[in-house]
Amino acid sequence: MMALDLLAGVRVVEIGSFVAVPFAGHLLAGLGADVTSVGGTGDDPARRLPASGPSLYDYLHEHKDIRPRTELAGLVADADLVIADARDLPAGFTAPERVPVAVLRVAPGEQPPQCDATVLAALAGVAWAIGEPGRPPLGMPAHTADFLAGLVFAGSALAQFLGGAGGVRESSGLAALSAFVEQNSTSYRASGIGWRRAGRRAPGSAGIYPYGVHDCRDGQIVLIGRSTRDWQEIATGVGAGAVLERFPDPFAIARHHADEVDDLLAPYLAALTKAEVMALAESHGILATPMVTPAEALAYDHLAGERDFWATLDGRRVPGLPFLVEEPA
Amino acid sequence: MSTQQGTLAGVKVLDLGWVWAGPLVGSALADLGADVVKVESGRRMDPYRMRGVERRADLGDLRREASPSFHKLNRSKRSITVDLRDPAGRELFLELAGTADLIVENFQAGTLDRLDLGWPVLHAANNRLVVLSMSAGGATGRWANLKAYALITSALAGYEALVRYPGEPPVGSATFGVADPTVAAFGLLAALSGLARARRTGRGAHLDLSGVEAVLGVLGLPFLEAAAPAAGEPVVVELTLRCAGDDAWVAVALAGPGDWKQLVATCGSDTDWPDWHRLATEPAEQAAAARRIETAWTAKADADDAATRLRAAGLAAAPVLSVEQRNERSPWADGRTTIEHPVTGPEPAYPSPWGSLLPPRPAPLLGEHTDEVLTEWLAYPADRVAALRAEGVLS
Repeated sequence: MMALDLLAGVRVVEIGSFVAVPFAGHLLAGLGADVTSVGGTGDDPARRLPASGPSLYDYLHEHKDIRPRTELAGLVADADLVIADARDLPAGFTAPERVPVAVLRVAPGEQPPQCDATVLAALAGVAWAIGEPGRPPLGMPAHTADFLAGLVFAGSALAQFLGGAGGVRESSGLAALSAFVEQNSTSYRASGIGWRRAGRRAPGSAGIYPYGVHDCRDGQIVLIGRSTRDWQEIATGVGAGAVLERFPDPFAIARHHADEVDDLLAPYLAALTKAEVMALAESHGILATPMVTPAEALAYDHLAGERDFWATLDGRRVPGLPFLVEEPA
Repeated sequence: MSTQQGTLAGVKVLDLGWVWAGPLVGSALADLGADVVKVESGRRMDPYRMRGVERRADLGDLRREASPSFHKLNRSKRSITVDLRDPAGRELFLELAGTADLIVENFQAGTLDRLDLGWPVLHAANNRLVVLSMSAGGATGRWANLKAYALITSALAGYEALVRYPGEPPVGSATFGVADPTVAAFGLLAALSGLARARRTGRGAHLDLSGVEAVLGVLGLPFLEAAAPAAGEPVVVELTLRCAGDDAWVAVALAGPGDWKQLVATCGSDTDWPDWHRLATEPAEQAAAARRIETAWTAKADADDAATRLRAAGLAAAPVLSVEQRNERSPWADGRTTIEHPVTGPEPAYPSPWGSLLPPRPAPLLGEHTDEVLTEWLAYPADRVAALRAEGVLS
């Protein structure tokens, strides 16, 4: 991963533990800021994740200066920006008037114990729409709700810094997740489809069939059709011309027959490997991808070359920043 | 005219974004006080103008102004129409770029190059300019031509395979669409960082963002787990428990054996439960334990009451809310205001997670501010604007 200087010289003090605020600090450090972390108030569960190898704590703090909380006042006095988890702010915390202080809460006015991802997904309306109908809603996996909250918080804090004014501004992970659900659910509700769990498909197939996960012979693939032509290509491509003949309208399938058409397509897809489906998708102009596991994604060597995406931690690949900076010639 | 104030007051943005991720970056910037000008043309307008109203032919020409999804993603912006394929339109865009601080675009990689508006050309027009490009796989490398919707982006990154019931094949999260907001959040962070450096050094930059890499960027933990020499028990176990009523649930997170013991005690039973290690590592034990807790307690309890009781016991818990419930009860909804759109009337507006310093303004009608922006940004006299319009450049 290339070393970036976009925030060179910006002094950030981080007060927090586990995922969201340390991830925000990790991102700002990756962008070139000088980030000093004083941690949180107690044991940091990130040190125990995963059970072996480099920890999440190691990953999130690799490029930071780690200092004891006793030095906080002096650090804040010299800071350009403070980012803090509300739970970890010391009683009576103050900062010079010129210093912007960005404070993250899980939700406005409350601080549950430190398992934010579960609470965020439940309260924001995310969990409600993930999983099988009639079965328990699923949250977001692998603390990604916390990572997303931290990512948004980093942007919010940076905007505060750019504004040039000091003072405390609070934001919440709930606001981030809720805003994203609101954006996405609006189109479902406007179309009369509703925002709900629909298993491996989007509800109402997001308006046009197909839009979801399907089984094939050696695993799963994602298939997306966004027009009548796409549906024709998918059905003929996998040899399901009879299904197309019976169900020619992907809009009508989405509304009324998605389960039935899923069942009718299943044997055609079950006869094909992921690679065969992908070859068909390419030749027919269909949007598709095999379902990739994190272990398989880690093997994306091509992202190590021209894209310079991967960073390393103790010799292991970890994600870097997802963009390249092209400089003036 | 432009009335923006706030954190990014004075920052001028040309928003070539379309569909979701690009426009979301622009709306966040507008919420923060930047002057964001959305650039479309009548021939190639943002397809999200039709999102959710595809079949509302009854609306005639007003259909393109009636999409609630488009309205949410484009509030507080201004709109101009310029045909970038017309040489005069391209020249006009370059003049606008000459006065802008930031351009945001999420076309398929290479689109601006084909219009002869790639980074070298834009940089020559304005060496302080920051250009944020967001494409599915980035502008370089094997995925430079990748075409992807949200679900494909997140499946390629390995996210969707993680969405599963314990011990079962992946379900995925086709509904939520984690990719676009993740891409937009990284895009905004990149853009703000670029603006910070341009302000400090006078140097512009091209920020070439990949959507797949953005989703990979929030998967640090599963990548560490995938590379770990030995699997261990998870630090957090999440249980979602059925409550009384239709499709009512409470979610609780257990961060170790102490929390598990507390849940069992709260449930009112303390005999013959699996120990923490078995609960954390054996999916069947986890499912059976959840069903037992439901039978003993939560299936007869109101979800809010159950969450309150769990939280009183020191556990992280919340009722699982639908969007409608959330909009009625969540503290997030307290920030709701109403936008009066000239075509569709009052619509609810919620605060931006990046900060909203001003009451939002309605999403612009197509080309609503063309004359105004050309006058304000470029000091074009009215007759010059009229001539461009007559030549079809502003259509």
